[in-house]
Amino acid sequence: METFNVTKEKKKKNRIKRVATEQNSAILSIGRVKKVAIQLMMILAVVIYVLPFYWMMLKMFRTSIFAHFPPNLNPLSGTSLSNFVQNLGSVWSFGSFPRWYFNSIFVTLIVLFSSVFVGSIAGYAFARLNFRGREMIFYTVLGTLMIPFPVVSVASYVFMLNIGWLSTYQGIIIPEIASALNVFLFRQYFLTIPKEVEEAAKLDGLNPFQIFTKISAPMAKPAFAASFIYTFIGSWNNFLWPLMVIHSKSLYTLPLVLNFFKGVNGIQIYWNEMMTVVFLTLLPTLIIYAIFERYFVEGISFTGLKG
Amino acid sequence: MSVIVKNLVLKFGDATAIDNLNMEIGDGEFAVILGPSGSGKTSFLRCLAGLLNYDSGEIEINGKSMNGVYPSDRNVAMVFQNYALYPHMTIYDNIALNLRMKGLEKSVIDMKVNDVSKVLGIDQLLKRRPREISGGQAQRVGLARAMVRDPAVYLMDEPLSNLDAKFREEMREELKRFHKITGKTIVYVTHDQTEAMSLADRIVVMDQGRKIQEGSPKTLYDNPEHAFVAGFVGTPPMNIFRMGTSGESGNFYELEEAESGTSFGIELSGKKDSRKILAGIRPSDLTLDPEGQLELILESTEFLGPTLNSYVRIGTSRISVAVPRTQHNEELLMNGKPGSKLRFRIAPDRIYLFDESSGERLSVSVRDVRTLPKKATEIPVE
Repeated sequence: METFNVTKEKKKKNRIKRVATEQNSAILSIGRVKKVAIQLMMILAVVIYVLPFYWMMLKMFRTSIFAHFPPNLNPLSGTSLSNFVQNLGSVWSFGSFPRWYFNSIFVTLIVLFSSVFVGSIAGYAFARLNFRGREMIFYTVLGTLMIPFPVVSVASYVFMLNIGWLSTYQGIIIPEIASALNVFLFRQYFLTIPKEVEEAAKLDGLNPFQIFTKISAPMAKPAFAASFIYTFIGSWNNFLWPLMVIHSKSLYTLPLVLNFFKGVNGIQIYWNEMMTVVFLTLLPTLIIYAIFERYFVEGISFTGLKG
Repeated sequence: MSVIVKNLVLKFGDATAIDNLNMEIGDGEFAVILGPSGSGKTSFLRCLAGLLNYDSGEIEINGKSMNGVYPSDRNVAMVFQNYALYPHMTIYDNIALNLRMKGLEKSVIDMKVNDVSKVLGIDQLLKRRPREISGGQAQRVGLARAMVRDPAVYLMDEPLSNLDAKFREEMREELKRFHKITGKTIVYVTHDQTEAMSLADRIVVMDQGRKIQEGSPKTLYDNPEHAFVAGFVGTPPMNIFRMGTSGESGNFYELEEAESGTSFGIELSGKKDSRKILAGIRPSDLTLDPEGQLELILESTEFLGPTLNSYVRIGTSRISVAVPRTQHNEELLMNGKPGSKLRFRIAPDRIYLFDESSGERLSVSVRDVRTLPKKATEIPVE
């Protein structure tokens, strides 16, 4: 009797299993279609994103200044490394290109470190220190995020004019040394760190400044990575503000140089040289991306911002 | 005295978190601050640690006033509920940080960290990081971090409440052992009365920022001076009834809630000047007895091994009863039908009386208890 029951039970179980697997395979095939569709879309996205790079490469390995239309059937015809070296040479000796390159690096480095430093310290203060008017000051800082730069650009320009900072390094750099976005980002991150950890540090004999440098800041690595990346990209690609304050060519940064290569009067565009400049402009970003690839993804998922 | 607290007041805006607290904790004492959430017990601990600034009063630790002293200079160490380890440091660095801040030599630090971690059984974990160890291990690291400093007073803020039940009991034993080894003063905060009863030399019960009663676990259990303590200490908790008398005063009080069905009344040894009082009966003080004074209706029974926990009813009042597991009791409570009538005995001197408004213990005693017949206005139950 008992064994009979057992076999009956088994059969029932098997039946249930069979039904379940049939359903599973149906689900699987729907899943497969979905997967293929997603992959196709991703391939399309890659093509869209890579095409400009591909085009840039084709141009910078040629010496011809023209864009071909219709395109040559063999895309690689006329490309060679020596052409690229030749383009590089002519770009590098064009105007004061090394100086412009240095300008970009110099401005970005100072803006990057000061903006992250100020952002982290101010963000920490807003998250952890109690002082009078904290909320009001914070919301004032946050409020500046809501105002688009073009709105304040004229006022900033006039300000720079009045203090005589037009066409100076400090004119490009100083207005950028603190960013409300960084302050906000760090404050939000520091708020997620449990207070008890800092209290434990207090009991362990660390003063507030040491708590920041030894405990809270190391715990905020993702926030540092995110703000480093965004500030770098923002400053390196910054175009509008340098365009407004810089009137002397010696202070040009790379985005301005690119603009210059576009052709001042629009008559002749030297595609090969322009694409070589594009490549040189992209190079630091690419290097940073290669090193910090992991943090790029983390940074985006952490802030929920788009690059 | 290791810790002396005088007239401590702490306010958050308009709300008073600690209301004129006075306390003395002796050297080597294991003192447990017991109270529900919002009772101000954790705030009190944080005042001791120097993490919160109080509004007025005085705290002395080891004979020194602590007003305005930085947390690390108070010779106290704290163990946190959520462990509060430094996630970016190894376990070794977590434990060693304080010694490094003190500027001790590397070899001395090494020796101390190794000693402490051996005592607490975490010497295998020193190279790991906090996210790679379990909750129980993390709490041991928290303990090690406190122990390595050899403080005068350990402050513990619900250190076991993030652990699962089985492990909690194990850690409780370890804490007791820890107290024995170190012989140091421990101020321990918890909302769990079982934890308080099993660990404490002395329990301080707090509610709404005030100290309600302090004493040994035995004193609190046997002689609660306040209805709050009576209802808070002991499992299952004491049954507390609101009793009323017909006039403005009297010596006979009857159960208030019983609008229908049978009720019970108590006769006091003396007259009491109040219309209402509270009467408390411990679940374990009720015994099954066919000659007992109280006729109660069975609702349900939980089997807990050596004891049976039953819920019974009188009128609309629910009463919990804890009786030892005997064949007789099992027959009546486990196999008895819900709704069946059972008789229980209570010794009159085992009934606790409290003032209805202040909650304080009354000095009168109970002379007699009896079940009262059904009221005239009774609507039949069921």
